[in-house]
Amino acid sequence: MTSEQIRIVIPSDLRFSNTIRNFVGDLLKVLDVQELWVNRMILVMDELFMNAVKYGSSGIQDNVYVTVDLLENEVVFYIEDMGTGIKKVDPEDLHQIIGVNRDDPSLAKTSGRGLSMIVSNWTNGYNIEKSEKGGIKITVRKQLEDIVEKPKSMEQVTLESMPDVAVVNFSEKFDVHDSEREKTLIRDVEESDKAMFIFDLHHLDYVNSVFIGLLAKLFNIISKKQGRVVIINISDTIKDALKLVGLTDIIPVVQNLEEARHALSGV
Amino acid sequence: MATVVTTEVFGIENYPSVKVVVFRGQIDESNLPEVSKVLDAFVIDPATKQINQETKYIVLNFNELSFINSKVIGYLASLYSTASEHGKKLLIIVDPKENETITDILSLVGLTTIIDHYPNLEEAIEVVKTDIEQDK
Repeated sequence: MTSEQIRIVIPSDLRFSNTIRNFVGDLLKVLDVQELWVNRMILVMDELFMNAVKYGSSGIQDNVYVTVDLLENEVVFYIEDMGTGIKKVDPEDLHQIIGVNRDDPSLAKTSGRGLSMIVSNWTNGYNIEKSEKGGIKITVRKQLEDIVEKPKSMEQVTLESMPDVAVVNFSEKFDVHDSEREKTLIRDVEESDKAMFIFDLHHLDYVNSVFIGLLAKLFNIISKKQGRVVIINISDTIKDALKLVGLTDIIPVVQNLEEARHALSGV
Repeated sequence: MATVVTTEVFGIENYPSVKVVVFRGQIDESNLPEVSKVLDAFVIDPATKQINQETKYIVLNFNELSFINSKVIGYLASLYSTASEHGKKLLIIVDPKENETITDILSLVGLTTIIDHYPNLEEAIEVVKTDIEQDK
């Protein structure tokens, strides 16, 4: 993914905390971030929103500005307030509050401690500076490399009885968010030393256009390798879907491994 | 828009000094007052403003809770302190396997090091019953 930016403006009211949590959760799920880290980052942003509302705003007529930069391997959140809170806090003060409270063992002292512990433990760094909106701008960065779900490689099994054939088990349907997984599977098929493939669909109960497109791509790759592919263990519903788009005309569909072996060997 | 939490309070047969509170949903600053109203009453009776003599063990089941923040952590720490000062015991139920999110935040801020916690109601109640029997 190249650099993309999302900006939202939220009324400065803690009743909108749920809005920021849902926004962050949905965004990180789209990026395939692991559930544990989705929940951690939700808490990070909830803490920052709470801080902006309580110390940087004077009421619901004010706004909190949230900007998210989606970079190649990193997501960067910026949260800005208007600086209209009763108790003026400048960036240096906030740094000080966070530093002192981080080392304070009292669990009940949460205003800076929660922000400090959660943000410093669960992000790859934060910065506090003056915002052009009038208040404070806090930037938090989170690298994605270690927190995204690893793309699932195809389960390629070579059967003893068919050493030249790779069986690909599609354990889950592909959807629009599975681009990395799709790339991995395509790469695996391209780089496989096998030319004969059996696509086993027994785990799938329905397919979508993304999956159908993927099957067509894989068929083309295997054809270029002078190879062949058959589909086994397909439900009637999926068979109808593939038939509708003409895929069953180019990829044979058979019942089971034994029939697949015959189909691929031309026996 | 609003953050929603439901609380279910029940007792344990033959052990009237035990109150179990099951939370479902999310707690943040916006709905913490309604939660604290329920829990504070186990320490100080709101009607008499005196120590609640009926309840000695407050068991909080977080296994169905999906979100808490530092404000809630702060409140729990404070509740633990107040309850202890008045001779009461606060216990938490949270299963790391069932609820990784809540376990994660409680561990990060160190709450699990000061408040006794158990993965399920059965284990928590077993400990409470033993404690009560030993006090007799």
